[in-house]
Amino acid sequence: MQTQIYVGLSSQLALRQQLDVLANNIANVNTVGFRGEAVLFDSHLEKTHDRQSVSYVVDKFSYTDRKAGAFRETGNPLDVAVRGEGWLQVQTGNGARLTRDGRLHLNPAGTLVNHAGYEVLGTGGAPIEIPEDAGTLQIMKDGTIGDGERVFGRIEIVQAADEGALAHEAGGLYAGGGAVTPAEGIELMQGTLELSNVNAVLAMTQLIDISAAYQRAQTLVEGGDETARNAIRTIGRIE
Amino acid sequence: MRALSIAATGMMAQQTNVEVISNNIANMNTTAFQRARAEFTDLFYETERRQGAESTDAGNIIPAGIQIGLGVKTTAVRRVALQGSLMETGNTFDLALQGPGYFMIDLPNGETAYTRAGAFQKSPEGQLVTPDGFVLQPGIAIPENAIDVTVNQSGQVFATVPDQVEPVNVGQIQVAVFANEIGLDALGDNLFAETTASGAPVVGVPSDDGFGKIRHKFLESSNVNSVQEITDLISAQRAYEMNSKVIETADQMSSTATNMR
Repeated sequence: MQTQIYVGLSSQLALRQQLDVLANNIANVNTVGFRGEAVLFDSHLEKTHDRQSVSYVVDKFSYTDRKAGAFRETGNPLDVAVRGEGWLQVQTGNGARLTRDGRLHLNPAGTLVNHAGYEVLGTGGAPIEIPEDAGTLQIMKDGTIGDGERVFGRIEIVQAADEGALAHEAGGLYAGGGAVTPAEGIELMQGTLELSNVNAVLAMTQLIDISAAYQRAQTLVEGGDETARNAIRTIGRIE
Repeated sequence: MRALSIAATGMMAQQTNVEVISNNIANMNTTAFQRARAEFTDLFYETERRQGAESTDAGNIIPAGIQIGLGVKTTAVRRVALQGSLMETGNTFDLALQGPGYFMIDLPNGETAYTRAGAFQKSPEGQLVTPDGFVLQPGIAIPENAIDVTVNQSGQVFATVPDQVEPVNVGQIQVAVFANEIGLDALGDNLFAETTASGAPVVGVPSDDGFGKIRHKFLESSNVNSVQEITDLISAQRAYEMNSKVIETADQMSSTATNMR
């Protein structure tokens, strides 16, 4: 009897989850190298006592949209964008992490770091040191970094064995993609940044969809409530 | 409802963005002003269902879990240390730096500040000073009777005095470079101070390797690009609106729940 209400409720819970994920995407619409998340829903079949099946909504998993964001030219020599399915690697306190956020900096020691101060890894996992008297830095398509006369190192572009398993961490970092190997044919573009891949128009329509679906589920719950009330009233009436 | 607070972080970030853009636009005509850029990163993620966990006792692995991000934060407002275009002014004491480097300025409290704004003037004592009267280091003594002063690309200052054919060398301007110049602390009035993030200054002669050239009778314009600022402003405003829509939707959904019997 109460099934109708619970089906509606399961849908509403899932939609709230989806709204949270969408809210995070929209909040990060201007975050460099950000990749949006989406939630995948599934139906959970339940057999009722009269051998009919009822399907509830469950949120199975969230996944990262792996489409590349738009590229934007900034002219800043320490901005790089990865063209193709490759990643930059940074060394955090918890081990190496992958990122698409190419806003690089130099720390006081002259080491190439990302915006959070984590060292950017070069070939063989070694950090890249830039001498103090270096001229304007040039970063080649293969990641080689120099000042036109000397070469200081090469930023390693890598691929993860299992990209689907990559988990988001704060600061645009990803972890848990399995073994990491140097990527072939993936290029770096200097003076360019990869913008967030969140599509504003799509996000807005999703927002409308969620809102409308929530209302529909609400009607379902209210309908169930109505039926139950009527049943109690009708059955309970003593002629 | 998390969506409310997530969208709030988005609105706050875009507000910072607009503040940074408005400061850039306000300083569009400030000598040697370097535009700033608000940098954002995503906040923490809440894991509701962890990928890699076993879903059954037969060892089936969940391939992807549920991760919900908690919004966005501003990590840095970074100065973009790109060369501004050089503008000829014809003023005898206008100096522009083409390439890396900062002029060193003596502050009244004895500390040294750094600037790229080379709009200097002559003090009554014949020293080169900033518009606020702070003295350029190392000190330069321009003779009182000097008719003309020229500064060459390497920072050597020559004064032409009456009755002498050859201009007299009256000093050498030095400039400082930093390992990480965007780590300098902006003091206002076009001045910067050294920090642990910038590293210690390396002082040298202009035009040497790794140091910029001095352009006499030029000033460096700000590196603000009006078209870029306006497009940034548009995108910041739209992002702000989008976040407010999320709040509206979350609010509607909450009120639906409240009105449930």
